[in-house]
Amino acid sequence: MEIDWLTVSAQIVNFLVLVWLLKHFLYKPIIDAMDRREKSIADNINEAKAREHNAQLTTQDYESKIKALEHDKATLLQEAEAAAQQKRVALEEEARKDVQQQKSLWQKQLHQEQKNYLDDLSKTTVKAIQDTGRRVFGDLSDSTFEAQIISIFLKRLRGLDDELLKNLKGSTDEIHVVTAFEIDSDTKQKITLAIHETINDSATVNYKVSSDLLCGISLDTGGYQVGWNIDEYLQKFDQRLLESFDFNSDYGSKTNV
Amino acid sequence: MNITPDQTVYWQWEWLHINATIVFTWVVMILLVGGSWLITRKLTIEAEIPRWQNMLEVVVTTINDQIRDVSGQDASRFLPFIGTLFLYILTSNLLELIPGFVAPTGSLSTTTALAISVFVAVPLFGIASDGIGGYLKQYVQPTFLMLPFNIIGELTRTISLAVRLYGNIMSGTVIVGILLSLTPFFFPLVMQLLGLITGTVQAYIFAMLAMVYIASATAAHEKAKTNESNESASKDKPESKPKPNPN
Repeated sequence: MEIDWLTVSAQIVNFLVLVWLLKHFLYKPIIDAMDRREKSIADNINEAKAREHNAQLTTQDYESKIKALEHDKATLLQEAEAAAQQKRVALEEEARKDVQQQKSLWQKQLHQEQKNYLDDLSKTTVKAIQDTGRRVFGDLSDSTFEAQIISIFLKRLRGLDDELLKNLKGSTDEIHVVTAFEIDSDTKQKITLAIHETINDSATVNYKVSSDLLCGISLDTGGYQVGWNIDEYLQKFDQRLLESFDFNSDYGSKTNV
Repeated sequence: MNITPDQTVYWQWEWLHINATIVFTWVVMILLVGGSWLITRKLTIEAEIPRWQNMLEVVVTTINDQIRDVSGQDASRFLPFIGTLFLYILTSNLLELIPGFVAPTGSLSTTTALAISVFVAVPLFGIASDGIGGYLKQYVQPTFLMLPFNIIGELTRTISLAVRLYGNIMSGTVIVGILLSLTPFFFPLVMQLLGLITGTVQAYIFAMLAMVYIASATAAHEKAKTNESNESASKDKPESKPKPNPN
C-alpha cells in the first residue's frame, strides 16, 4: 500500500480542474436557471396579484356604477315617462291643430267652391230667367223684359216711403242710375222725369251700364239706393240652395258615420 | 492481483507516468463535465423544463440543502467544492459496476489527494471567513496548551478521511476479487449490489465530513456575525424586545 505522490499531485490538479469545470458548467448555470425561474414565477405571481387587485378595484368600480345606474334608472324612467306624456300631449295638440287647420281649410275650400258654384249658377240662372222672361213677356204682351224692369223701378220710385224719400231729397249729390243693360234715350228721359218729379227736379242724373247688377236697375245718391234687381231673388234662391247643401252635408256625414 | 490502480501504468517516460487512476479520473471528469455541458447548454426558465435539466436541478438542490443543513450557513460558496467531492466519488464508485472500469477512488493516492484538498480547503474557507488571525486563534482555544493537540487533530482528521474512503472502496474491490475466485457466480453479484450502497454512502460521508470540518472552521465567524447583526438590530429598534440568540 504505497502512496504515489505524482498521482496524488495529478489527482489534486484533476480535482481542482473538475471543481472549476463543474462550477462553470453545472452549478452556476443550474443555480442561475433556478433563480431566474423562481424570479419569473415570483414575477408572475406578483403580476397575477396585481391583476387580481386591479380586477377587484374594477369590479368594485363597476358595482358602484351599477348601483348608481340602478339608482338613476327609476328617476330616468319617471322623467322619460313624464317627457313622453308631455310629448304625447303636445303631439295630440299639434295633431288636433292640424286637423282643425285642415278642416278649416277644407271648409274654406268648400265654401269657395259653393260660392263659385252659386256664382256660376246665378249667372246661368239669370241668363235663363232673362231668356225666359223675355220670351214670356214677348209672348204675353208687347212689353220687353227690360221695359218691365224699368216699369217696376219707376213704380217703386213713386211708391217710396217717406223717410227714404226725405233722405233722398236731402242729398245734394249727383244721382247715378246703373243698369245691367243698355237703355234707350226715351227710357232715360222717362226715368229722369220720374226722378225730377219724385226726388228733386234739379238733380243731375248720370246713367251707367254695369254687369255687376246681373239683371236690374239701381239709383244711387248720397249713400242711399233704390232699385230692382234680380239679385234679390237670387240671394233667396242661394239661401235655399245653401240650406239644401247643409242638409245634404249633414245627411252625408250621418250616413258616413 | 493489483489492489490499487496506481500500479497499472499505461504510459511512462522516465519518472513521469500515467496510470489507471489518472486515466479513469479523466473518464469520470469527461462524463461529468460533458454530461453537464450537454444538459446546461439548453437550459430553460419556462414552467415546464426538460427531464435532464430537472434531474440536474434535483441533484444540485439536494446537495445544496444537505450543505445548508450540515453547515447552517449559506451553501452557495461551499457548493462547488463539496458538490464536486460528492459527485466525483459517487460517479467513480457507481461506474465500478461496469466491467473493465477501475474506480480511481480505490487508489490511496486519489483519496489522499482528496483528503489533502479538504485539509487545505478547511483553513482556506476559515481564513476567507474569519481572516488569518481569526482562524489561527482557533488553534489556541481554549488555551495555548491545546495548540499541539489541535494541530494533531487536524492532521489525523485528514488522514482518517483519506484512509476511510480508500479502505472502503479498495476493500470492496478486493473482497469481490477474492469471492470471484471462490464462488464465481452468485455471491459476487450480491457484493456488487452491496458495493453500490457502500459507494453511495461513502460519497455522502466523505462530502459531509468535509463540510463539517469546513463548517467548524467558519462557524465561529458566522456566530460572531450573527451576534453583531442581532446587536445592531436591537440598537436600531430600541423599543423592540431583544430576541434570544438562536446559536
